[in-house]
Amino acid sequence: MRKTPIYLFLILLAAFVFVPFLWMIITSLKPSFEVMTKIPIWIPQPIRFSNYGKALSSSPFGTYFLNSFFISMLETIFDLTFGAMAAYAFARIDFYGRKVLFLVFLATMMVPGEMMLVPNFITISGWGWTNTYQGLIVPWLISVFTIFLMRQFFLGLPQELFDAAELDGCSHFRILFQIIFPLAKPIWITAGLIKFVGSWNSFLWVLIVANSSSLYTVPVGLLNFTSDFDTVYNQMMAAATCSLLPLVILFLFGQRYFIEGISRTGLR
Amino acid sequence: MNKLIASASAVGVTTSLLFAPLSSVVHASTPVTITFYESMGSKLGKELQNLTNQFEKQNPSIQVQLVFTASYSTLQQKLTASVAARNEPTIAQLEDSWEQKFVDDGIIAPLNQVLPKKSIQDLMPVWVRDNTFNGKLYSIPFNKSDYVLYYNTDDFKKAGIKTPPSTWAQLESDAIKLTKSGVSGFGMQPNYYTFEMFLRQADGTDLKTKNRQAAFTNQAGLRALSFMTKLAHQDKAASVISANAYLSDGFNANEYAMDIDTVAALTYINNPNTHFALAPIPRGVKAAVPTAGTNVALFTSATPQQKAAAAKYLEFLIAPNTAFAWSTATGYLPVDKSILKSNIWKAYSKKHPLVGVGPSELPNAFYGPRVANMFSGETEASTQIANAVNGTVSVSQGLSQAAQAINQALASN
Amino acid sequence: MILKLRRTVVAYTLLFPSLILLGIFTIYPILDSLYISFFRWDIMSTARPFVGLQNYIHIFTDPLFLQALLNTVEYVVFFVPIVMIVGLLAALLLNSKVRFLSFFRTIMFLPYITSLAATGVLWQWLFNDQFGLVNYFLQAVGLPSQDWLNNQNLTMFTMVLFGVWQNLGYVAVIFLAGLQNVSKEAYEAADVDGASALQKVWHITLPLLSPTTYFVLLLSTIEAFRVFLQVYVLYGQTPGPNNSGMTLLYYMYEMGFNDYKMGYASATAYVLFLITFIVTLIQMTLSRRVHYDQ
Repeated sequence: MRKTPIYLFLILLAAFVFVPFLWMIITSLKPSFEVMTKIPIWIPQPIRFSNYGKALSSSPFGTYFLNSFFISMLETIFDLTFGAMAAYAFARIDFYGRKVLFLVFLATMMVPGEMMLVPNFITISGWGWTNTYQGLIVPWLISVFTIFLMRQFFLGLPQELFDAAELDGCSHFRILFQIIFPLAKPIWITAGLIKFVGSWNSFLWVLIVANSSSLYTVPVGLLNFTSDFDTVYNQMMAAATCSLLPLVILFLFGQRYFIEGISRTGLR
Repeated sequence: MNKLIASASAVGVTTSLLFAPLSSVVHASTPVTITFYESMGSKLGKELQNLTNQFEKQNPSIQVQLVFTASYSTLQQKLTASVAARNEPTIAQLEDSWEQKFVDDGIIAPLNQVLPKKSIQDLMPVWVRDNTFNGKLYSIPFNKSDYVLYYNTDDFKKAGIKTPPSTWAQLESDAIKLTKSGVSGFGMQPNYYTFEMFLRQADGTDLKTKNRQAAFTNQAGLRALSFMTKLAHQDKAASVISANAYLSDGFNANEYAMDIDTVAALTYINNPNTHFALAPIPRGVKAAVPTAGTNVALFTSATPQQKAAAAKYLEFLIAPNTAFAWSTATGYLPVDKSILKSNIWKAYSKKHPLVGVGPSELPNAFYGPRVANMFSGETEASTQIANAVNGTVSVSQGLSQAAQAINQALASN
Repeated sequence: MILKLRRTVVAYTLLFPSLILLGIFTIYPILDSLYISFFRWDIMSTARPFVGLQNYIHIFTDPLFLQALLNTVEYVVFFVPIVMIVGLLAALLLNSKVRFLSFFRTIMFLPYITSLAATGVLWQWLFNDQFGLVNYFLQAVGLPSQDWLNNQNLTMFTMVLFGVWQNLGYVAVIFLAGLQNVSKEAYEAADVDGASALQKVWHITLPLLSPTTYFVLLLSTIEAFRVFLQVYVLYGQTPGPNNSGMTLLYYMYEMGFNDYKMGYASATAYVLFLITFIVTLIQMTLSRRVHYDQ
């Protein structure tokens, strides 16, 4: 039973992380008067599955889900491609301006996004891109996080791999996309997952650029349940639970890959 | 602007249309489209859509595009960005404190010439004052509410109190009685807005007439803050509810027997075991009733056709029939004098006796200072007031620090 | 020389899309706000007086800014090591062969994938002094309940806890990905030598993981300096009791978007940026000694 402490730690950690979600799900099934009580009610009486119906019909969530999916997917694909290219250059090519440029890239991460909101909106609006998909998507096609994460990974790969490729006469593009990218599966799945989650949950930019609910995303729908006077907790939690589901599925699907050992990809 | 809206409705969720040139999707079938940035979530948003649909039916040549902007703070950011990019909506909800800035910068247009005199004259006087800047009406009152006393009738019965308090002294003694009978007497948020209410009731005021300095480091301010502190600290008859919780949640769960909240919170009191009624807010030296909610203003950047269409829509929103429907569906106050005199309102308020209290207080209503750069000052003043109520600083110290915070916000750029 | 020139051309070809996008949507706005920081401007009006360094001077004479600075630094100092240690522990355990692995992994990642719109409301509620589960549990085990969100001494604790809860999964996932890069041969060699599990972690995993650790350190420091939304949602759009949750970004947001002092807010953003940049540079210099990062 060497593993008992491991399980104990994992279970404690999981409880710390999970209890709020348990509460979220329970709340999503409660009638409104059972939501705020001095003594917490663990089992709703009666169980109101209808909260889900009400929550999801309160806004055009179908459209929101499609938009969220479409926008996040596109941003992730571009981000991974451009990110891998940039990361490869920073990690594996010795070029003029590398250090300074990398520092500049890094520095852009330190500027609060709030500061860029208005100037970026002015840019987008100057191009006539308000209320369009390109206005929502294009500013987010690249994230320095992805570049940085991939760079760290590429730095760790053995030099022989690159030497061998150069001897074969591969161009840098071919090395990157034919040899390194397949090898880097754990890292691009990780980066992709994080990028996807980030786009899925972002709403401020959407609210500012879009002028029509046909372009809105899921988190905007979640904001619909809060007002200055109170929050419709049960419906909000129902909608939040639903908005989590696609990401959970994606994660369950993705994690199979990113824990796959390097050995299987033929590095050895 | 027209182009954008037309394209918005045409762009579907299909990938094929992505990056399609804008011009290809412009074929406006209606002569005028106006955009309305609004923050009306869930139920409120549905009702606004209903009314707007009615309007469009009556005015087939006008299309009103409702743009939901979530909370007031996101609305404020979207408006700032829109104005900075010269990409304004036709009309938008505004809080009166931002509105001052928009008036100063010439971003919104006066309405006196655009709206019929009759419609303006029918508005309650307090709303006309609140929407008037530099002598001109710049917006119409839209989702307006005022504050009332919520009290739990069961708790009152148990504590042997027959009528709701109507003065500070009664509020205090009732809160003590209620607390003795087993439930906290009064739920109170120790922030600037609560203080402001008591300050006005003590015959004080926020700012000096020229609006650049706090005016409450005096007897009235002292009395207001002392009263709050006494309720919470010496009497131990009030529950102090911080900004992270809603007053209505505690009242709904019967954490306390009274609170002062807006009439719009009424629909959230849904606990079947909480029996309650509303009463006018107790008076101090005088009666003073805080108000809340936003106005709707028209942007100068709109085309003449849009302005004409928007004027029609604004007129529609404050027309007695619409305002009555809006009020009964949402809990906001009816904004017209004629509604309160009408028979349908009398019949309605007979059926729903709680709705009469809010309008009855309006002669004593006030609105906060309409100064754009005071928000951070108010936040900091709230912090200082909470410190005084919690007893970490003395009342006079809290008061002077709150004043200092506001002065600083107003003085600096 | 020629070779390096050729490599430079290739590198910039690879970097081209990133350079264009970052140039337009990040670097341009950054320079733009540098410019704005020398003006008094509400960003909407046509009047825009030049004020020179006045905005910067004013920042350092505002005690509230100094408090925001102190709070932010305190948050960084607590948040970064805690989230890294717990995240690394979680990743190490999730990388070993335990049952229900995918279940545990998914749970760990849940807070990170949930919209702040929902988690903010949820936490506000858990820590509510009257209806909160936290106080309910405390009382259930005989501990005194706390005024979690109203006691300024507890603000930093709550903020860090919320931050760790949110970012734990994210940090763990990055570590987990890094762990896949540690070759099995190293472990096999250690097995032959009869090393204990702890020795293996210390002598093999940690050194080989150092590029990832370095990455997580920089990242979480940068993120921690920008702490704002957690406070904003948790304390009902206030900076916490007695400003105990006032942070640099909170301060900037309030000045810019609530008080319409965009010039001043831009100056604040630059101060925040410079502080983060200096700290990051120090971290980079120090960690260069520890491992092989170029």
